[in-house]
Amino acid sequence: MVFSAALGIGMRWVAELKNRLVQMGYLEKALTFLLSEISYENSSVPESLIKIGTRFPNSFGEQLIEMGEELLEKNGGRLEEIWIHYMDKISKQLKLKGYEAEEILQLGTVLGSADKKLQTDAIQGGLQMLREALKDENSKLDGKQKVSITLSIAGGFMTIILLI
Amino acid sequence: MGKREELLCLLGGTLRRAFESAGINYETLEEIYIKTGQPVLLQMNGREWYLEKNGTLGIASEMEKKIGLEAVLRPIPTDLTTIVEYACNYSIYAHTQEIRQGFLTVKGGHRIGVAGEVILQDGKIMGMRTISFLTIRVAHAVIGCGDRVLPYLVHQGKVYNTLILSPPGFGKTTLLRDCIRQISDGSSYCDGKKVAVVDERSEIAACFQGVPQHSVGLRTIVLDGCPKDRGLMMLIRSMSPQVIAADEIGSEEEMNAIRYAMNCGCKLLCTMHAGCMEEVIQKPAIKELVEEQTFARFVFLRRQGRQHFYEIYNEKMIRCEKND
Repeated sequence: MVFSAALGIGMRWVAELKNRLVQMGYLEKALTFLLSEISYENSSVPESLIKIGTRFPNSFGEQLIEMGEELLEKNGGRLEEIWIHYMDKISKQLKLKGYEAEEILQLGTVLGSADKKLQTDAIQGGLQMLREALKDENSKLDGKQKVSITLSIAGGFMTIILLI
Repeated sequence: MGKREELLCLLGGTLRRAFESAGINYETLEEIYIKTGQPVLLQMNGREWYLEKNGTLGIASEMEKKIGLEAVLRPIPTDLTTIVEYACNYSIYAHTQEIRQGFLTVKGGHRIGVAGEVILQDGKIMGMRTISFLTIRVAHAVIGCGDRVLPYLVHQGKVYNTLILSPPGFGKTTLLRDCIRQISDGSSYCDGKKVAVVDERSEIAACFQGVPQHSVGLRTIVLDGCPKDRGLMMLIRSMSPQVIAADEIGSEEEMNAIRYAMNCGCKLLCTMHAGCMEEVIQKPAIKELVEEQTFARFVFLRRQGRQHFYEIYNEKMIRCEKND
């Protein structure tokens, strides 16, 4: 029983890691869409967020739509503040690391300005960071999977020995 | 969404609060002048009003002479930046072309004139660095304002080539819009006709995200934000219109496009800035068209307070009607 429980904990750890990768993949896709909306479609930021949000049938998509709608309401908030508010929540959900989250939050300072190139460059910077993080996590996944199972088994044995 | 909400959602912070509590009649509000560090001035009910910090309105001339301007609201630079951000839907990059031309069109068809420090590159206007002057022109579609004019612009179901003339702010575009609507929908003077509108400055139909904010008729096609000379050609080739409408014509290219349109069997409804016929013929581009009797009707708009008067002339410059 102890052995199975330890193995279960290890498997859950791996599943969480996989989930983080999937969620980061959503963010990466969303930024790619945003880049396209701004550079090719010339859409406004709120419209883009709503449009992109509908492509993700989950809470991530819902939050993008919510952000877009809040921007359209123009209730006195500034784009930077609203972006940081929502992206902070999303970053926590995605369990982004400190520097990753910072890069995404910083996008709020340039989005919507007159200089389109500045924005597309910033989004591309964020995308590159996310892609590197994804690649890194993916390459580590196999190793982490093995380590987690081995550690779980070892932990199980250790617990049994201690119990004896 | 009414005019009040459409305009309030353009304002942030202090300005919004002051406007919310001020007793503004949005139906008679014509223009709002907002300048950095200067009093907010409203043109309403045919008078000028200052907006005070506590959200009350004072008659401008009286305040200047008797009370003084200490209590008036003076916007700070961020107030103007917020208006521009809101007007652009937080996406200034998507409106750079309009800003270069000096205006933004917002939901409801209202127009925000922008002025400030221009960024020039190789002699071309690239944008504006510091926007410090804004003029919000409140859109008022006056349904039926063309009723008195239309009988003189249509004969036996056929539309005359017409040029509507007046100085700025006299209601040329409003009159043109209603004529377009009536010709497109059909009226007692003619059956509905296919009307194509080249709305270079988004003033006629005031398209917001592609949807006309003003009623321009069932058979009307709007080419929004397109230069008039190219737009006229495009519409003739692609939409087979019976009537073409354009606002504020004047350049040589536009005159050539007008000639082309007329030779294609289309009728024209256009407007131009001019106070009288002498001013029209002083413009070289239009002089030839007048001499060639291209336009069969000239509608001059006059205004006294909120009252409008029309003077209509035929191609020989003989007065058809005076409506006073």
